[in-house]
Amino acid sequence: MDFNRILVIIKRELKEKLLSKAFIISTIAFPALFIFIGWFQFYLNEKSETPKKILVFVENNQLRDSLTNQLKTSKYENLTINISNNYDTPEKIIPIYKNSLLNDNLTGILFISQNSLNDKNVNYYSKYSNDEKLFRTLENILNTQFIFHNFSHLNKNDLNFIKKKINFKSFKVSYDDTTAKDNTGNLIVGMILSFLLYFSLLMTGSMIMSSIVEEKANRIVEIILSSVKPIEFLTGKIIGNTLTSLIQMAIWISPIIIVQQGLILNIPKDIIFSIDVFKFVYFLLNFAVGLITFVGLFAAVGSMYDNPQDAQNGVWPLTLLIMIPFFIAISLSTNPTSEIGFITSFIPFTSIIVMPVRMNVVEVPYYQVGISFVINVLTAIFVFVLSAKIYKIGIMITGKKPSFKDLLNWLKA
Amino acid sequence: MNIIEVKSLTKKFGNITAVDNLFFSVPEKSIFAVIGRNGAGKTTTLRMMLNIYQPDQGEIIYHFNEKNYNSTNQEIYKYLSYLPEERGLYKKMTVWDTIVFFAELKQSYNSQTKKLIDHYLEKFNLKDRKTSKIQDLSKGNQQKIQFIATIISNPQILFLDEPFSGLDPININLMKDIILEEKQKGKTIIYSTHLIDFAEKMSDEVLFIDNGKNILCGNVNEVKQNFAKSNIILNCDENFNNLDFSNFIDTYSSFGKSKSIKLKDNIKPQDFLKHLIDNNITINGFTANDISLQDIFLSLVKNPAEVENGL
Repeated sequence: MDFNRILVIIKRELKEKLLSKAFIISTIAFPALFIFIGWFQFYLNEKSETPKKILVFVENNQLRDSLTNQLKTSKYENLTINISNNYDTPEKIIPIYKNSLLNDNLTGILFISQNSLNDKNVNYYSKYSNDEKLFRTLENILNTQFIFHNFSHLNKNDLNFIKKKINFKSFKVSYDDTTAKDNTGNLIVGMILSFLLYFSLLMTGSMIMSSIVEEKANRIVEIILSSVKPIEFLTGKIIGNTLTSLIQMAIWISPIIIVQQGLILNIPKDIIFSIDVFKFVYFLLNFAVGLITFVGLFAAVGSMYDNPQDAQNGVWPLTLLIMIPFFIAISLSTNPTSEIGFITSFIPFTSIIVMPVRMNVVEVPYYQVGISFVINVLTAIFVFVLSAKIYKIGIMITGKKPSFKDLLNWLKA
Repeated sequence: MNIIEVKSLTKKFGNITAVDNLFFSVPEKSIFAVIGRNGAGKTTTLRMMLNIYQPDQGEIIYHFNEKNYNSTNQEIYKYLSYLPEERGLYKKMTVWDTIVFFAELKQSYNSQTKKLIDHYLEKFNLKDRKTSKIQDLSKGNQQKIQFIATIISNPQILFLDEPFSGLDPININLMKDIILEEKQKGKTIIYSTHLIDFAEKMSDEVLFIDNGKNILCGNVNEVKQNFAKSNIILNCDENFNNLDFSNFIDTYSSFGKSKSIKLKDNIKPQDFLKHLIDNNITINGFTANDISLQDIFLSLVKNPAEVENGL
């Protein structure tokens, strides 16, 4: 292989990709979209909430008084709770307020009977009978009052202790003899990295595939192949696209590092991002190897077809090869020690996505990370040889879709 | 001296033999025309010569600077340049970047290249389009850019697959002038074409391919000489269908006014001329012992129906 010729191809790929509108837009738009979706979800949950008005009927006079007192001292956003001075059964009350409930003048009516103090069952009547957020708020208020009422012989400190939930402070035991306070930060970083990897592999793969299909369809590849060997051209394209994607990843990942270093945003103390240098370097190297692997595969698929539609139809096995490990990686957040997670972090192709997440959620020995990385490098080399064989023949075949038998013949050639 | 020797070249695609045991050689500094009907194997032959396709059999030997190179030798890339039949460029690249890219690919980009690009852009009336994107150019102008990209690396051999297709007469003429100019510079030009008249006027050597086989190859003048005996090129308004020439003419093909006539073995051209005069036929032109490449090609190539019937 002549590296000077490969360099010319890399230069062209970088220039075309880095200066393209698609690159600039996706690099800026992707995080912007991510932030927007987060904000929008927050807005939907919190800000866009319409004010709620709840009427409460309490049978027990003592409970009614203590509840009234608590509501006097507390304020709830977008929620007005009025306590009725008298009590009657729902059968009598609801017909009176039916129109108000249906016209949204009143959001709901809560009935706390005498029995509620024993079985903690309360009845709620509303047009919107499944308002989980409201139930959580009311549950907190009522539970406090129920506990105060039933255990009134205890002092305030004891009551507060009863109310208190158990707080798990987890510590991660590491192979490097350090015991660090664990936190949700690792999980968040793991998930973000996994998503970036998933998104990047699919995007870069699709980009190289469509560019190869275009080169094949408009025959520019003929001129290029009269100047360079197919393997040189493919190498240049793979390196060019991998570098483009690495640059994009560096742009995306830098805010995570800034946040981790606490340079911006006051993140809660119990969320500590603990990506260390080893993990960071491993992640970038693994990402580069993963890109080379998948970009090579996408390039091979692109060379088999001479129009984008056929290429899209032919690429689904590759899409699955990226999606399945991504879902396994996501499942690690709820089941970090799953066997599937362990096994797939050593299987070619899946280990590229699963291992970086696994090592963020559980402590993985260095030797396992090493084995996984060696497997990934060997896979990349194997895929490169395979892709070069398919590319060399596929790129010059036009007019018919290759069969599986054709593909085998190309590989044997 | 020959710059290329092609020996026993064969290429099959499945059951179809696209190129069948082809032998020919290309003299140095010549214009070499490859002529054949659609699907005859012209492009496949050129692609094998450029190492884009690997032949199933045979070899192609290049002679550069008194050294022999096989077509698979990477060294030959810098001596060759190719303009494919179906034109394609990177649509979003600028004119300038496109030409520079191809020069760099051939590793021929140097301090002189910029001047050379300017020279060719001016020649093709494209100097003000330097920064235009390829997609913003007309199809004809894109072809011109592709041609400049082909010759910018100053190759020893130019391979041009249908270089005139899609061009208007003025640009065909411009292209022809530049090809002749390249020949003057000592380049060898190998091109395929359907324009046999053009090939006859422009080429030194010709190769006729049919069904992947070499049916004729040689110097254009020598080929014509060999086929021209007892052949007349007659220019007249008369329609021969109304006249009886069965005693004089073996075969003839008509292009309206211009007719190519093969006389019977025992008939001399002057006897035929006398017969025309005796029949009061107005003669605009009469050339004895001449034949066009077109007629030679048509006489050699069986029509598709004949081929299908195994004739």
